[in-house]
Amino acid sequence: MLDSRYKHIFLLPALLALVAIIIFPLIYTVRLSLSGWDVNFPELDYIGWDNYARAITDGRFWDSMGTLYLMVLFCIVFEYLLGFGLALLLWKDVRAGRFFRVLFIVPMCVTPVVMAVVWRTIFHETLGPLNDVLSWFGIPAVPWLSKSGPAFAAVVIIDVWQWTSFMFILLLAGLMSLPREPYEAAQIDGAGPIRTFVHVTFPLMAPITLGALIIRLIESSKLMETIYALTSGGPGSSTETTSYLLYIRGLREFQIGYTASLSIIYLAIMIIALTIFARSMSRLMIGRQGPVRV
Amino acid sequence: MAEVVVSGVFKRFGPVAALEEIDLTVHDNEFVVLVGPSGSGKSTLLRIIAGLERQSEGSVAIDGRDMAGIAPKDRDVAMVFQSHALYPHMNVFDNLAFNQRIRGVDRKTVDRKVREVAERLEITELLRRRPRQMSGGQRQRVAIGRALVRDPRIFLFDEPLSNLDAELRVRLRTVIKRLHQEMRRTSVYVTHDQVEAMTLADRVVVLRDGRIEQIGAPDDLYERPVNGFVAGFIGSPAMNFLQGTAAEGVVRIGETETGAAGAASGAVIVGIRPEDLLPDGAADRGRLRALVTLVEPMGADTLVFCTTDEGQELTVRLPRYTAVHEGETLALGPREGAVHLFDPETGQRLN
Amino acid sequence: MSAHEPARERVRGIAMSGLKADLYRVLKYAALIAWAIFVVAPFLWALSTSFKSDPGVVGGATYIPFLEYEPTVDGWTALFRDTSSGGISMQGPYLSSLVVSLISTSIALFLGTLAAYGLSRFTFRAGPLGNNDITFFFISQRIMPPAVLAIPYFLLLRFTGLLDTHLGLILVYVAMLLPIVVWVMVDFFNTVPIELDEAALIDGCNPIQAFYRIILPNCAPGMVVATLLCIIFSWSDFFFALTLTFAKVQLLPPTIVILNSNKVPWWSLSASALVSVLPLVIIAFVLERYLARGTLAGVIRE
Repeated sequence: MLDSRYKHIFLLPALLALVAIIIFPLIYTVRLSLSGWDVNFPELDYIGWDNYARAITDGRFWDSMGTLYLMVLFCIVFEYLLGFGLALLLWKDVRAGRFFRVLFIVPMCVTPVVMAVVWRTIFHETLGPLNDVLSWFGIPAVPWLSKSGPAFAAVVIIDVWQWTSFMFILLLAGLMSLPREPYEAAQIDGAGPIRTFVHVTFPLMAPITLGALIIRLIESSKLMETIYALTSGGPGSSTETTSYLLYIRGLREFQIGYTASLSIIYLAIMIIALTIFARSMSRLMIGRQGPVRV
Repeated sequence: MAEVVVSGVFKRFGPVAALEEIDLTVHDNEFVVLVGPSGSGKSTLLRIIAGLERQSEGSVAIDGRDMAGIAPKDRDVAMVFQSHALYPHMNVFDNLAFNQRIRGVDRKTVDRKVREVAERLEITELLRRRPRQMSGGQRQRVAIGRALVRDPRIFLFDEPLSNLDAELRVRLRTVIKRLHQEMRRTSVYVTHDQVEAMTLADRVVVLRDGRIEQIGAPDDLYERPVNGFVAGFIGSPAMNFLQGTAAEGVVRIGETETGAAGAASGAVIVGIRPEDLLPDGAADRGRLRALVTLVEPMGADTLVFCTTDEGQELTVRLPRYTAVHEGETLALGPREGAVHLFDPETGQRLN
Repeated sequence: MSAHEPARERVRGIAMSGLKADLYRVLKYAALIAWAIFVVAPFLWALSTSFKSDPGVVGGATYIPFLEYEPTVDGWTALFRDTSSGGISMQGPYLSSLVVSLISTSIALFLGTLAAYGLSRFTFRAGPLGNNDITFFFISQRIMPPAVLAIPYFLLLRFTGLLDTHLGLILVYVAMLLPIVVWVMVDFFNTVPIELDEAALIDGCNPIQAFYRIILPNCAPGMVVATLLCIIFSWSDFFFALTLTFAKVQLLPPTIVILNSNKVPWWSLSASALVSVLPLVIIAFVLERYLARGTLAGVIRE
């Protein structure tokens, strides 16, 4: 470690910026959540815990959270399985490997909301290509955006299209950084491909897998833009995620105080859920595995 | 012209003391080697002199000027690192020239100085290469060159040869020694290798657990170590330590009388260097009977490992042509005046 | 094991008999090609649609120009036409997006690399918290959902008169990008040996010179990765652009999404979508070089 009187020159600007742009607004949100600020009464009064009491019984809010977690669950499971599968396929020397790698990371680079607009034309019930292609196989037209089940699936398909690429590149990078010795040991011990995967690759990949899952979990729990462009939360409120609801309540209906309280509850639940997930997953994936043995 | 005075220096990392009460004066033009096992605090002391770390207590003065609050760049010291620490994004020329450029020396002078140093270290043909295109030995030469271009008051070396293989280490050791003979600059050199310490130093400072154990010329350290630690650390193979007793002015190991005890009495540790144990005939004092368990011919001489009748291990260094075989029994006696006695409790020298 | 297999494959210990290996290879390429088709499908569809006109759309899905529909460049020329003449006039939003994302990326990189270097090289203490906690504090800001911050941002920017301005949006983006920069760069700085800094300090640099003359040039790959990620995130943001700007400032993503609800023909919509994601596709090509070259870390080790 270096030692210098100047060290604060390095850290402080960014730290202050972060506090000013994130922490201060967050504290302000807490204060707002204790006020009755809305369209008719835009002032920072104090109404105590009323907003929170109202939030507890707000069925639509809790429904949106249920929708969100169900969506996140589907998205992450598919993205992990597909991403890991693709990474395993491209791990070893493959003809045109670079071509596939570049292609496979394109989706995570492009603007989600713009792609959602394109996807909306693809999902169009009568004019879109998806139902057209399905009809080649004799499958009747699916009402993608007007029935709740298909709409939910459409959101998941777009998310998987976009973010499998992220899982893929992280897991591929992880695979490429694995040490070679355990594989040589496994080969000497006569382990086949499946045993090698179960006993060597998977445990060695556990830490990076966990990291990738947690990052995706954090990012996907913000899910809102795709829904804004694709379904506007509909039909009904069947694809309404919490972020989308907060946007509607806060910046469309201008129920500032109430939305602030919803935000705080949402944030608290998310942090708790993430912590529990991270803890239990790390115990499950890393804790139980001893040193690599075949 | 530079004298370094370290006085009363302590360095603590939290509750752990890395250096305790260090007093050391490095005289003008002197080559001082700090030696000790890892964790002895030798590198920390060097880094405090360089200004890379701040002492918790005490002071460092260069040429009578207190260095408190003076940045490394303003101390007029140059340092050679163990990991060479060459700038990977610059070629050799730029690496050598960087310190002059940043100090605003004009182009022509920089060019001349760099070429002089390159010539001197025989690295002229490497000037356009990047560090990653060179071998370990070449990199370390460049690192030494970087210090030479500076022409500083003080040279600091932090284990500069430790990452090199044995042969290169010997070669570069002589390069460093020659340079010092020619330039006569005050130098402080850190190593864990006692051979480097013995060969390079005007004076050696032996450190252990953050304390100075002994300061002295290499021969003094070898011939009169102040305690068991220094005795065991300096010299390879290490000094033999045997349990003995002193009474009535005589030291005995088992039943064998091995030398004069001086004022010591009671249980003692008897230290005898491997080359000071002489076989039959050559020794003039009592004999230790020892069974030969292993023979290692080293070329110039032969190392013989034995076990005494009392079950103590001994290493003996014999001349090249001595015919000794495993299973033989030797009768060994110490050379006159080459017996070191240490207190078994404190480790301090007794004679 | 057959001899023609690449050495790498042999080392990884996957030994298979000839027939099984051939089957495996066929399935592998089938899977890769299937996913590749899935990935490019939306782009191809958009490309095809962008050359269509009414007849190519309203009769159901068509794909191949000339064969199934008569291609026109109407969708593309609409990008540059004024709204009064049925165009979308994308130049303005394009330029705005470019300016906002480049400026916010620069600021975030400047502040973030300084902080990451500080965290990698110096010891900081804030009560019981040390360097790792501060680093985590930076990175953990990614947890904050934009929807939670939108309300206070909206009010605070309104108080300060920064609502619907480039500056207001840039400030918000800097906060969003800082954690990414710190995350990438701390890792990179940690792989550069500290002796380089020390050598520079002794050679005559002050800490700030040591940082930008010695350490930063050796972290160029990290800077590239951080820069590209920042551009991707700021260029792609929709939520803050939607909620914090409306009239004076128009960025690309909201412009396109609003077209979507304004009954703008599919062909102009597709063309504008393609134009807006084109820089990002180019970035993907560069990014792959760095990301797949092992982990983020370990690029510099000699």
